[in-house]
Amino acid sequence: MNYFNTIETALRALRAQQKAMQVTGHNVANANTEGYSRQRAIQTATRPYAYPGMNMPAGAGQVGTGVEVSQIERVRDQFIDGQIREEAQSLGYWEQRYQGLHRMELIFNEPSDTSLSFVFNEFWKSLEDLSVYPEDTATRATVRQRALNLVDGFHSLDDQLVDYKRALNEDVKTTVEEINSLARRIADLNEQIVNVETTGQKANDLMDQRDLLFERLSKLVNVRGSVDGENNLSVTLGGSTLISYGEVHELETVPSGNAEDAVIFKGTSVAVNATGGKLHGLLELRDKEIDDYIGKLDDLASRLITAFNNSHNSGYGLDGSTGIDFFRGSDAATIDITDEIKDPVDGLNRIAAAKDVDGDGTPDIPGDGSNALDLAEVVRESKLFSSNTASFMDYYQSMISTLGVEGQRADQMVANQNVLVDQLKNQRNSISGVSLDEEMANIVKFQQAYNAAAKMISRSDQMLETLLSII
Amino acid sequence: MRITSGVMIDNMMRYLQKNMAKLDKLNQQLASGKQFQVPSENPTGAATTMSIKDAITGSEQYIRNIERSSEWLSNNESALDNAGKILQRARELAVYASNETLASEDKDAIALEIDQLREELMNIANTKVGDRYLFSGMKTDTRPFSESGSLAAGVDFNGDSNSLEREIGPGIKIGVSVDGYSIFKDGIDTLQALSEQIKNDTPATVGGVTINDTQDAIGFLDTIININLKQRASIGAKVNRLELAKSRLEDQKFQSEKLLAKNEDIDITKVITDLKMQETVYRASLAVGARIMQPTLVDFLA
Repeated sequence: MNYFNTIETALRALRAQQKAMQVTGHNVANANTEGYSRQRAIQTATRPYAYPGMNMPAGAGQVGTGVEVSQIERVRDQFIDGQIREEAQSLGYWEQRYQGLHRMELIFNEPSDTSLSFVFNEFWKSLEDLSVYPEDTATRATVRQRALNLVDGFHSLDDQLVDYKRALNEDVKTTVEEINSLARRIADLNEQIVNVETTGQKANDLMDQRDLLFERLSKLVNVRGSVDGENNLSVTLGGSTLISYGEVHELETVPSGNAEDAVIFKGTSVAVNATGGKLHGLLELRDKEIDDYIGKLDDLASRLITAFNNSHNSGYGLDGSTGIDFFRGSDAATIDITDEIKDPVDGLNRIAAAKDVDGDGTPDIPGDGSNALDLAEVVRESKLFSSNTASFMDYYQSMISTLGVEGQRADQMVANQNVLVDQLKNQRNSISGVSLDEEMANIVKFQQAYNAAAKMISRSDQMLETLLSII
Repeated sequence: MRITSGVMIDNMMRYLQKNMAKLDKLNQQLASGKQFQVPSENPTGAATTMSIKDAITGSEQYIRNIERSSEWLSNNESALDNAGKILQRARELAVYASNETLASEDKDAIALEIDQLREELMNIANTKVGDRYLFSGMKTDTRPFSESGSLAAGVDFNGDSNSLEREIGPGIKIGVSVDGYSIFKDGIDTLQALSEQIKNDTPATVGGVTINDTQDAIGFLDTIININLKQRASIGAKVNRLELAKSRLEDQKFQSEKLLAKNEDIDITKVITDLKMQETVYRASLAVGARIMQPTLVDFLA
């Protein structure tokens, strides 16, 4: 029996329990830290050795030499992390898409009494009134005013959509900045982690931080990562390398066209192939959805202009004028009333409500409102759209309902993805989260072990004293 | 599954958030009175709302057109009614004048009254409603009848024979003009010719109407009175048709409004009940939340 060996063993135990206590303290301290995974001090028995005896080379069994903390590991399931990143990517995309579609719904503001469909119906009503009172100046003035309201309605929708497109372009730039910044921080952490790990230690907290940043990055854009033997995280974006060890291939936006900055890898001409995450949602809204709706508005405006002018041209104004266009322009941004009709003196009289009903070569003014009826028909009934199967209102309504259906789908997808991500995070929390109960129990456990080890030293000391007092 | 207080608190926050969202939705519904605010909340509902509103707009406008047409027709009717009375009186005078024993002063008096009747008929022929003449076809700003100054030509007609058309339904049109020419041109000329004939006791021709004796005049007046009656019958028929169309449109509008209400208006009783229930659920989840924030072992270790 070696007293000093016993004291040494007890000392190791003190150190090990102390270290375990320290890890517990770290866990308690980080109970609410985002991305933190609880750590465990792995205690292992130190190497035993055979005890040489008087008449045998080795004594009974092997004598243990105590305990040490061989490793401090973090409790984490990398597979769940991968799933969360994947679902977060999808969540990022749908959240952005829903936000965009919802914004467009607010722009169109249907159904309401301030929407395009409302001013459009008002315009139709004024034309019907004109057919009844073609000789009345006030009725004519109403037609012109309602037409101006319709024109304003088109302009305002077009302006707001174009503005939103610009705002989205700014969002794209900010998102690209954010991606770069996250990528740089991940690369920095890569370097630090590899440095730590090569010394044989575990870079638990740094890896927690890196996982958190990588998860944030996944919500922004479709990134994939792989970790090599040195615990170095490489990230690719749509097949191209974004982060390799401490190096980042940053993204940048370059102006191309009107409010549609292209996203490329800096210093190259390689376009970023965004197929997921917030960036994908932004680009899709900016380059596809908004253009789609502006295109449909343009279609509405241009066909209305042509068909309305056709009818208007063949009619006669109160002053006998004929062949005059009512609208000018070619799309939602340029539609307007012609100067002939805007004319403060003769404009109203030029609104062509009459025809030559009896075919005697002279217009049947002022009482004839039959051309006004034709104009009203163009506005309400004529099948000008979708290969002559839909009236203006049919087309517009189907456009709004498409927007609604898409928005509803995005809303549901956001809800679904949230449920998925929440469940996965719950799972992760269940594995990696700090439980204060557990930690408190551990404190008691480690404290008791510490106390016992300390007792061990004092008893050994007493034993040694007993021995020494004999002398 | 290993449960930590973090998991419980996360879950609690999520459910609280969900319950808040439901409360918010019900609050919005109550405040606006509508089941949905934007199309994405109910795309089919929004499309239905738009097309019903469209239909209501149509019904309202056609009803407006019908009301104006009815008004126009009843103005025509009352003018023709008055014209009919004048023609009837003229016929009575013509019968009276055919009495051989009548003194010449009496005949003069009759002729004078007929002249007055002609004036009145002329006034009626030129009836104006608002700033539009009833009987000038589409030339609504033109005074339809004017003195030509020559007996042979009779009264001048300056209007046309086109009929004003009104739309009373999608693509359904109805003519609302009365052909003033056949009643008033012939009527006025006949009265003038009659008056000339009685005054001078010789055949008189005015505007193509030749009257040899009062019997001729009675015959002509009967024809015109007949035409007048037919016109009024036709107006009556049209007014009836308009009334029918109007009540059909009003019915449609009523049905549409009912549909619209059903489509987008909230059932207040239901929403309030739901809101109350949701409030209870929210309170319960708050209460549960308070319990979830359990004491940990920390509280029990000295």
